[in-house]
Amino acid sequence: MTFASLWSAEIIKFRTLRSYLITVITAIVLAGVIAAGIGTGIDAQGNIPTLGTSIQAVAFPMEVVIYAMVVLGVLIATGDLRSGTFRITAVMAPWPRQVLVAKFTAAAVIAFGVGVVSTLLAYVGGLLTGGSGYSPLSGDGTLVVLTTLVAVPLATILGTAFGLLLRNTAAAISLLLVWGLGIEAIFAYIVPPEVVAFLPFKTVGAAVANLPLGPLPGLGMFTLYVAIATGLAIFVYERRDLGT
Amino acid sequence: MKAMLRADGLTKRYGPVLAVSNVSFTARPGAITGFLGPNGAGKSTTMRLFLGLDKPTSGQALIDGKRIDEWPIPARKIGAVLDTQCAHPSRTAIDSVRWAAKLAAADQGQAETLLDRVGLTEVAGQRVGRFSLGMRQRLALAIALVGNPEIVVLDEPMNGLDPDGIAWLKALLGQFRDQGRTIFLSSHLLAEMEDLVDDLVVIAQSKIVGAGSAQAFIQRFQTSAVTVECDNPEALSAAISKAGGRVLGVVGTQRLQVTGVTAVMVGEIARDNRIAIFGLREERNLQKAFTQATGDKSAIRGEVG
Repeated sequence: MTFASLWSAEIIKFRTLRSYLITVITAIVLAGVIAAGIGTGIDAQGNIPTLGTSIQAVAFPMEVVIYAMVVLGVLIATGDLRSGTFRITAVMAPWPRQVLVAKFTAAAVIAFGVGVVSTLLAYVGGLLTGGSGYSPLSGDGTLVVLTTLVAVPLATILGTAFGLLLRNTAAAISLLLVWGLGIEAIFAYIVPPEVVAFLPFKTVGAAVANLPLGPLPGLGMFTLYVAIATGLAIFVYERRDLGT
Repeated sequence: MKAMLRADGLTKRYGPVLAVSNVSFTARPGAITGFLGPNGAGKSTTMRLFLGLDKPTSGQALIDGKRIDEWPIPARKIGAVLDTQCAHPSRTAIDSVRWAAKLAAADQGQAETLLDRVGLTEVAGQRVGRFSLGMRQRLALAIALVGNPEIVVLDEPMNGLDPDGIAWLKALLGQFRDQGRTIFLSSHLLAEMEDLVDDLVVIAQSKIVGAGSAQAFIQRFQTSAVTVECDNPEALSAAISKAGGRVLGVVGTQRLQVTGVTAVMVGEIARDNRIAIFGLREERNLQKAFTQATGDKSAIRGEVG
């Protein structure tokens, strides 16, 4: 069986579920709306009170997209597991590593497309309301946007890996969102920025512009975290009995 | 099509529980092999081992001589229904078959053909979450058949089907047999299995207790009982006992159940004693043979140790 067949099957699974499509569309629309909202706060010098420079008009909405894609990744995994689809896939393609790589790749490609559209919408949203101070690509802006664009598919892979490892939608989403939006936010107040910069969800997205690690090393760290989760998921599924 | 299933010293242990113990049998092509056993005996585990879903602790589960993962497109070799939980509830029936068709390298038009074959054409565009148990059973079968497999493995395929559905499934399995496919199915509906299966594999407490032709199994494990209705049960009882038979009981005022003698012998005894017979039948069925074979091994448990 070719990898293309596995990949195509995963794409068909994705596009035939309305809930996945709704998640994607919601993420894209939110990116534009949030960017437009943030744009209204940009002053003549290109700064946004409490957020930083006008790069945040793009980076902050994209962070929302990152979290949405984490959720999508979890749903892609647990939807398959819960419905028996994963078991049927495992019978028809009894090679766990190839199946999971196809699943991760398909999720990443879809998320990359979502990321590109969301970034464009966020840029345009900010442009519509940002006025003369709107310059999101100045300074490290371009690098922040590009690394965020790469982070979106990685976030989807991370969500998929956690969904596979925990095998429970609520548990996986709760763990990832509570960690990203809660625990990391608390750490931001109690540990030095040099340490905060290495927290998984602070290595990419809006936080990068305000933390010392920088966009490219941050993306490298995030990729490492995703690689660890993905590797663990593949390791576990190559050894786990799938029938029970 | 001459593919066969072969279990060779197959053993599966989940921690301290021995789910399948040194199981060996063959399911031959062109035959329907029934896989019988009490709950928890190891039927589903054995099927999962064939399908590569669980890994054997020792032994081999071979599909036409190879493990499932050694076939380039397994769906063309084997199709299985292990559970009616076979599709995402929010996905339509047709889409649930389409993605599977991709894995089976089958023509995408195959999805429509299969839904038609299992009688789901009318609801092809409906979400699976709205399906009844019987409809999900049919959908699971459509997905299993998407690669036109040589071997079909079905775990409790009659669950949820109405009498028409059961008749339809039996006819379909009969067609598969005629095509030379290997059919391996488990079911608790022994009466339905009796006139369907050619061979039997019986498992109890994780071990095989019988394998071979269904008729041989029934003859081996069941002593036939004869039910006779007559005008003088007392006299017939005495005569049968004298002839070496054993009266199991008297039902009502005219019916006797006896063992150790054949129906012909009962008829001759009645004739010789001038007793009128109203009814005479010899019972020999799978249900009784199954009960006899599995005996007290029907508890839901695995062997511990």
